[in-house]
Amino acid sequence: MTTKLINNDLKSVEDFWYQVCFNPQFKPEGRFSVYRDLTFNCMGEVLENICPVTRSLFKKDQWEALLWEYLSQSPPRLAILRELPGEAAAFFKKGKFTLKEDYPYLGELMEYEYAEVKVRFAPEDEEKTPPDKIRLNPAHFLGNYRWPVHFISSSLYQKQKLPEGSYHLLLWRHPHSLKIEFMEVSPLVKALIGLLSNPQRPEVLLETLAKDLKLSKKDKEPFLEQGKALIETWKQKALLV
Amino acid sequence: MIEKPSIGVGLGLRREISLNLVQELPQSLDCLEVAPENYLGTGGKFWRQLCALGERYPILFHGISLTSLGTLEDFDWDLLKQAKKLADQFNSPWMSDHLCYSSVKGFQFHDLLPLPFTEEAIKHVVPKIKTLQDFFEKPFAIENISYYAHPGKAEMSEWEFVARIAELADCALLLDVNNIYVNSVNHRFEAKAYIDALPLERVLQVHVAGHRVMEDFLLDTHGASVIDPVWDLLSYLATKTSLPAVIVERDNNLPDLQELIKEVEIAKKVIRQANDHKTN
Repeated sequence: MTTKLINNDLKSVEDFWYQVCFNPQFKPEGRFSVYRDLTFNCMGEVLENICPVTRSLFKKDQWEALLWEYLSQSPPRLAILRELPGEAAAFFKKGKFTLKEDYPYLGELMEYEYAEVKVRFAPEDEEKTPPDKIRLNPAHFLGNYRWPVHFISSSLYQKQKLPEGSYHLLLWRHPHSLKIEFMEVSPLVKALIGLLSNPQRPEVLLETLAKDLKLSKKDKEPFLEQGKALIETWKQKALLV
Repeated sequence: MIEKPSIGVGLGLRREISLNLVQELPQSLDCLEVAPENYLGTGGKFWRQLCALGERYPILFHGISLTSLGTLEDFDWDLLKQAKKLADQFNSPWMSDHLCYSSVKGFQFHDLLPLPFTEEAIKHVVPKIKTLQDFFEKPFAIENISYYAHPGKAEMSEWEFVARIAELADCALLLDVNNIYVNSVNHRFEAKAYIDALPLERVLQVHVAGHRVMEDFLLDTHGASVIDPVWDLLSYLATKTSLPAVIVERDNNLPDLQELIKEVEIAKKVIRQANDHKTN
């Protein structure tokens, strides 16, 4: 398909613009190439700004090849530009890209970097928690990863240096200072957080968890004490509201 | 008949300047233009800044990827419902978006691509604009875009295309005079003749912006100061019709707020002088 053969009916024009922007094999002629550059650069810049660590792992030509793999196989569907990295992360998490052997964590890293934006822009919390109850701050993101993406930087990226495992990374926005807080959490804490999406009385919550864990009477008491102290700390940090 | 309230001259709201705006609340600023996509379903710092600014200035909502008037796909109704809620919350006097493709087949370009200037395209977009006006329950303005190449053979001029759509859809116009200038250079036509050919009584809003001079064409970047020929076009337009709202758009290479306010003041002066000229 070349520029000279474009028909001006709407179906053909749609097909044409799709080829210009999402098919790297298609070579737009003349000023049509401006549109390829504009769309590619715009999306590339957003990904680079929101995911700077991901970007720092690649040379320019590698990065551009990755973007083309993403755009040609899974063009963006969301109209909100800042959500583009979330779509790209979902694509790379599926592992259908050329460099997946060397960068198996790419999608997870991208998602983790995007999580900060997601939390920063999360809707305001309009709900009021009853005074005797607690609930999880809704402006949060919990990522569960195979790779320690929070330790990845441009100087430490070879996969052999990364211990594969189970990592739970929690980010939340303080409702007053609006600061983004970060915490790596254990599977137990992850389970506790999972119970907190609806308002709960803390003592009922801890009793439920102790029962689920089948704790002995001897172990239960310190568990409840430590649990109460943990909840108090989380309230101070506004992870619980 | 489109009502033309008098709103004034303002800036496109960008996150980089919103804190300064909240702190300074410049007197010479009359309104702000906001891309709804940047605030839909959000909270946090920028949302709170928008709310604070909405207390002081009229907010005009202007879509980027909101409607994709050209696409054969249906609207994203969830997105439109959210945008309507936002526009109603801030009492936006009208809504606007670009006369272009921002997506096809459900895939987003995150840029603005031109429609073919054809009878088929007119028949396609006119009912879509009518639907939007009914849905938003307020005037809907279409913006002329800058374009670098026309897809296929054009059956009419760009100005005839825009004018016919505005008349048939009975909608408002958001005229971007920088886009008219850029297109007039790139496609070699007389910019004032373009303006003369439009139903100017439909103009609710105007954009002025800067562009970049490339080797053999002009690129609409919103990344530079407004140049004199664009101010001249604003002046020419102001002698022809009343301009309810004029927005200085700057998306890239943002200078400090004072520089942007200077451009707002230039726009006011240009309009005032044009009005004086009209009166005399």
